Amino acid sequence: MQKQQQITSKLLFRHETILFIIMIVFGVVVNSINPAFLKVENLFDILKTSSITGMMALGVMVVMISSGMDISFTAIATVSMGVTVRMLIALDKGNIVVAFLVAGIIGALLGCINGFLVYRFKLPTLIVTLGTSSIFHGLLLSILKIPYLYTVPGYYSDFSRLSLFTFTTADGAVVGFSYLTVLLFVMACVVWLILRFTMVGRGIYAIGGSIEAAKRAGFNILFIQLFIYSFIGFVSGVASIEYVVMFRHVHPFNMMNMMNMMLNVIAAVVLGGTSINGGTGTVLGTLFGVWMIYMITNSLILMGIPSEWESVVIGFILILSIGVNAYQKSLRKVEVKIIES
Amino acid sequence: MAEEHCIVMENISKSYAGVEALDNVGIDILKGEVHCLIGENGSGKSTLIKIIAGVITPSRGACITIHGKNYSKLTPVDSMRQGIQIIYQDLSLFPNMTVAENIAINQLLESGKQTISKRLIHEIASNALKTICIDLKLETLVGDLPIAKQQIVAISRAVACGESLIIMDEPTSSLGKKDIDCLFRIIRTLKSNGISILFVGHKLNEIFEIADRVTVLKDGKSLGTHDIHELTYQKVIELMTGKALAISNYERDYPSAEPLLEVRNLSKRFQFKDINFTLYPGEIIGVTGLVGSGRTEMVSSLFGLNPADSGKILVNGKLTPIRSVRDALRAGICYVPEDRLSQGLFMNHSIKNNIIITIFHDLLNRLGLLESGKVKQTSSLWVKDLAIRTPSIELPVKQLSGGNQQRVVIAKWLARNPRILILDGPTIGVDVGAKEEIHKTIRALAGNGLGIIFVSDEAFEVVQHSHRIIIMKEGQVVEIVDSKDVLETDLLEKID
Amino acid sequence: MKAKHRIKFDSSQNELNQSVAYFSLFVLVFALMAILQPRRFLSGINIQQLAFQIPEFGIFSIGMMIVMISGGIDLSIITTATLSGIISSIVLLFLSHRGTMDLGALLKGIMADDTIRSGLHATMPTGISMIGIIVLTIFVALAVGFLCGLLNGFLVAKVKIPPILATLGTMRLYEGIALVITKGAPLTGFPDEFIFLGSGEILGIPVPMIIFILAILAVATLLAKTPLGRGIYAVGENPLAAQYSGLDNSKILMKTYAITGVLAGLAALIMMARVDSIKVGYGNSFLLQSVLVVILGGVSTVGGTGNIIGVVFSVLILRVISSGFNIMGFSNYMRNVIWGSLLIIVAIVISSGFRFIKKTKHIDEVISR
Repeated sequence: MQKQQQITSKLLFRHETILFIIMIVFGVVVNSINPAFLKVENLFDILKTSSITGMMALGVMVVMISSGMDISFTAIATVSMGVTVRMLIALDKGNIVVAFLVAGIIGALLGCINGFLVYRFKLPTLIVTLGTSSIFHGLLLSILKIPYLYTVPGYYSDFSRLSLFTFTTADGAVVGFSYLTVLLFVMACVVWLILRFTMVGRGIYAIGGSIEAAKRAGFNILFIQLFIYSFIGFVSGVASIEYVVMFRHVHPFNMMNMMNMMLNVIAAVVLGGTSINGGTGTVLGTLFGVWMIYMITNSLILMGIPSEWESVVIGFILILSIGVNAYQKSLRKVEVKIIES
Repeated sequence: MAEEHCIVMENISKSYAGVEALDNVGIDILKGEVHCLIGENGSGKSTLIKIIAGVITPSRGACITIHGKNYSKLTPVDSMRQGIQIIYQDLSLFPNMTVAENIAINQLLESGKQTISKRLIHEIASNALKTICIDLKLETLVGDLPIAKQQIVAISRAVACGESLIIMDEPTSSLGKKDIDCLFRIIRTLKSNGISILFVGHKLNEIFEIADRVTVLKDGKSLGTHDIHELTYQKVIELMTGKALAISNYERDYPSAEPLLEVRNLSKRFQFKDINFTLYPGEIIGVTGLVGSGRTEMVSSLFGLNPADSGKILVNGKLTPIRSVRDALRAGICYVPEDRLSQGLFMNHSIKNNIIITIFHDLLNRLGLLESGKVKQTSSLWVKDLAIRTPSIELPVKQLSGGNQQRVVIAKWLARNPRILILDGPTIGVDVGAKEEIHKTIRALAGNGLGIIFVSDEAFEVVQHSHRIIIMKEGQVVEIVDSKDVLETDLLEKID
Repeated sequence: MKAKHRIKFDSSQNELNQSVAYFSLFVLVFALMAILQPRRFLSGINIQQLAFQIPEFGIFSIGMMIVMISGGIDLSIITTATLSGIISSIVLLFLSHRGTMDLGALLKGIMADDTIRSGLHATMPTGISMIGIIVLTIFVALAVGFLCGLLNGFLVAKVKIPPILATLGTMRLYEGIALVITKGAPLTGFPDEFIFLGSGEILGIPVPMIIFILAILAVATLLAKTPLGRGIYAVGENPLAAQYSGLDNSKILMKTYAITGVLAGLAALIMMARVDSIKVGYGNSFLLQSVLVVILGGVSTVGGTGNIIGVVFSVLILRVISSGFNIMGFSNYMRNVIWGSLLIIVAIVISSGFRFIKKTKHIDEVISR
């Protein structure tokens, strides 16, 4: 009987389940205030606008599972965005696929530098990435001298209009399921497969659980660290092109200057149940965390609440969810102790 | 069964900066035997097993033969390929992963597979568990398991690799009696499957229960390998300590005065029950029992770290409820924790700052600021009194040796001028020489009229250095005996 | 001989050596800049500019240092300052602009309703002197900082949220509250008497510099000479041992974050008074820079060790370098590159230094040989 209880309580108290329930309740409540909220076009819009954050959140999640922290990803994104777009304009060639690939590869290479520093010098990851973020961004602006670009080649905007499928709503509006969302789903699946079915994935969790034990078990720590940090670099590069697609300009400050962008991504990952101490975290939870944040922002607009409240609400929710999590953990520890004795 | 050797090691030496950790040691392990490696702390046990694991390279001239293959030194890969697995004291598990994953991970890594499936993982794990005849839920997170179960996971992981030799480094140090029995059952199963076990330990009763042969190390030298039937408790202790057992116990006047501390019916749910004893000034009471006997829980409740549910504590005849560390300090009770690295010391801070941490209020001037003159004076005084060997009180504690570090912890508490001092395993991890000095310090303190509660799992130590001994088992006091009337062997029996 | 060389462990000696090292580095950097650009770097204007710029960044940095010594971090330090700056400037503007039309325009966002505004004006006390108003403003700024810090401390010490996450959340929260109050608009038009705090001089010394020096002295005394200061070090080094030593960890942590909050409030006052305005977003670039300076200053990344002299000199060194680069026409961004590289190099040196110490034998073994 106790076993059964444990299983049901485990399912019930899985972070994803709780998040999902909260999202549904939240959606229904907001919808009762403004029925536009749960309309398909609005939901598709949330999915589309959240795809950049979602992409980066996948990378941050992987880093956090390995009990690291990366705050250089917005800088990496800015660099790969600037370099890629400029380079392709200069070559006067290219299409959207090439843009994504080039930006991803530049991002991955920059990420490799982080990974190497983390592995070789065993420095706290926060410090390494704090340093590299200012190096990357500084180099972009001082040596590469990437200026603002307010017109970008047509293939970027073409991609933004591309939809997997479209349909017409009752009131005549054409609604499309954006390829940006598709891209996020594909990447999410890839991450899920890697984490779940490959030794590298197990290695990431293993490092997060105990790096010493991972070393003794015979994991190739260098390879795994390089993989982790080049992966977040890669998704940041991809996300940066998504940014160009969505906003049709290149701005060396916008992504970086968005301290808020970085914090939003980290907040989403944490909200999604990834532990900052490493070892736990799921793709589904992270996606839920991202959507949760965008649902909140979106609903504030729909409910006519001034946008200044966004920070207050997100800050509050973040503190609340982490607080509850921390509290649950301390309860669980007590429980385990009692079982042991 | 012919005498088939699993591993033979000869001429193994290793020195660190001129100190011989191992001096020409030899050991041979037969196939399917349980071989015990015993010796005091600092005798070279861990260096030897690290050499077998390939983590440490021995000095020149070493000769290692595994399954008939000769090596002059091993690399970790050699060692693993030859089927040698070590279960470290900290188990090296991943608390965030499931039982199945933990068990299967080494084999998967060894096989070089890049992708995995849950089915394969479960298959490996359940096979390994079947081999040792244990049933565990495969999907539980290892971090949620009690330590004894975690150990089973670690053993299964070694078994899953199809090992020929499993080295267990002090596997019983954090287990209760029942769990130890279970562990021994597993070891016997492994043995019958032809797997050799190198069991590293220092508790004699366990060794006599499980070992086929015993190798004794002392100060980096081997005192030979003996068949367990040739040995007796006394013989082993003589070998380990180099002293005849008939050592004169610490003679002292029996303290007579008003009781300092009276503990009446102290209980805490799931931990200990109905503890009663009295401590007199100048008395040393030894508390001993297996891990899980409630000894550490009981003494930490006297210090307010783990307040008891019911019962009374009287200090100097006055009822003193102890709900927090502050209450205990106010009552003049101090506690030197078992794990002094993580619980007692600030490793990067100076000796001075470690000592004054408990006595700020005595060192303030009129403005409420610490007076550096007083700080220096007080800390120097304790450094001198406890003979802490250091060139300066400003030296970070991490640069001291184990014995000196232990004395800094003691100094930190003595600075508070306590009436009752609780020492939890004060000699754990301290080399033999430093051990004696700590014993001397403890005796001297008792001589000054302090009441001392001395927790240790080394029966020998307890018998030698205390007036009376509280024997605990399963959360209860089995007996309180006078150390003059008890032999170590009797004590060991009573503990179990 | 070798052993003799190794025994240089007197940590007060060590601290002294470290200070000398930082000081010489400062002199070196200063001299280098002076030699490279003698006329412009050593010009009175530049030096004065430096003297006015350093304090607010410096105060943020020592605030960050305190929490980092306790083993935490405070990401909300800048938004704490913003919030306390905004609330205190509302008090200041409200009291100093009594009855004038200006206020209505300034605080349009806050009190859109005319009747409320006039009602408030009617009940306004009239007998408060300017000194009184300024003292009250200062008090409000510090009190808001204190409360923000206390909330951080509560989340870290009582709810047991990792500091980086707790302050990440409160960072958004404080910023949000400040945004809700001002709608993102700047508050400006402070009285001259208040501006004096940010741009005045006493005996030729800029007032912010005097405040900075006083803050340094206060924090240095706190850390070295008070039980709380020693407690902060102890909790940062080993929380478990601190608890076993009878320290009240959660009380110490609450106080630590509250002190940092107060320092943030102080920095806010200087910032407001220097540029005669306050706005959400001011000083955002100080956040990462202050973490950087604290680590360059030799504070352990995991807490427990470090001292204020190193941090103060790091502040000075970095400001001198960046001013020098400015004059030399280095782009702002090149500075970022240099700072980032510096951070990583210092971190590597420090961590390999620790490895060196681990490798050396225990001291008494060295002595006995």
